[in-house]
Amino acid sequence: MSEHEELLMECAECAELVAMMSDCLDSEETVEMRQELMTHIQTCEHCARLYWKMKRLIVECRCEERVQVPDATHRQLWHVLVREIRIRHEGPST
Amino acid sequence: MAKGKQLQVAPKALPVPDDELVRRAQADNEEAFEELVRRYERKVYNITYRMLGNPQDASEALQDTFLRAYRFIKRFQFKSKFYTWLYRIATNVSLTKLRKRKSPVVMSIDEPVGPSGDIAFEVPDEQLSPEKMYRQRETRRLLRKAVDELPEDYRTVVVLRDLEGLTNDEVSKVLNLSIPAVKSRLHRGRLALRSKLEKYL
Repeated sequence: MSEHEELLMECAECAELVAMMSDCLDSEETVEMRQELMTHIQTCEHCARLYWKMKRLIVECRCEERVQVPDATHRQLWHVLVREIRIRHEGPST
Repeated sequence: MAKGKQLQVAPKALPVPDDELVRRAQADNEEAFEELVRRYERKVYNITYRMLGNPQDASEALQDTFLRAYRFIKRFQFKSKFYTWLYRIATNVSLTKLRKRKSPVVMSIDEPVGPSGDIAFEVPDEQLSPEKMYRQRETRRLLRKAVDELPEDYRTVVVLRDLEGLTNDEVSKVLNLSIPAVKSRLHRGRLALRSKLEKYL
């Protein structure tokens, strides 16, 4: 368990605020929640660090580029689908 | 052009909505199903790729997903969006594949990664310094590795929510979970990722 996690176990206020962090990071928080969290992280270095790291993590995730379907995969998919369609219409080949 | 004469531009045809394509596909219109495949092929591949962590398994899961969708499309009852139904199939197929693995696929962080075993899909921001570009690339590579190592409950939610950009509501429909359950798994998954990437964030 990291130093930070140990601290969270001990401090009920931190544990409660960390639990609402994801909502705040997703802009799904209430005004009161945001106010409470922001007030807390101004005085709690550990929670402030966690908040900004979580924020950075989400940015990194969202920046992940969508991969292209490889050509071979694309061709194989259509080959399989066309075969399946043919089987439905003509029955399995003998 | 004569004064006052307006250039006539043919109105662009609106895409056929998913539900209409599904109705046609249910009536054995194969072109409609093919259009659905074209529409969602890349998205489904991204889900399977991020869930399974390698292009070979992702490709097989992509095929299985669309084969199942084709075989069972007549059972789709329009109680949800077509794509949430499709993503649910993709997620279930991926989870089944994950569980069948006797041991996890271990990929060195030094190995090239990417949909076809390269990193060509990463286009670095040319305005960054070489050091920053390297660091950015490293962070992304480690992020993918960290996602691969998450327990499947957390990984599924993180992939759909943070990597694929679905809303909590959509994730809850894909996974058939309550929104509080999605939020809880997402939060735990993020904490686990943050813990794995502590040094790089």
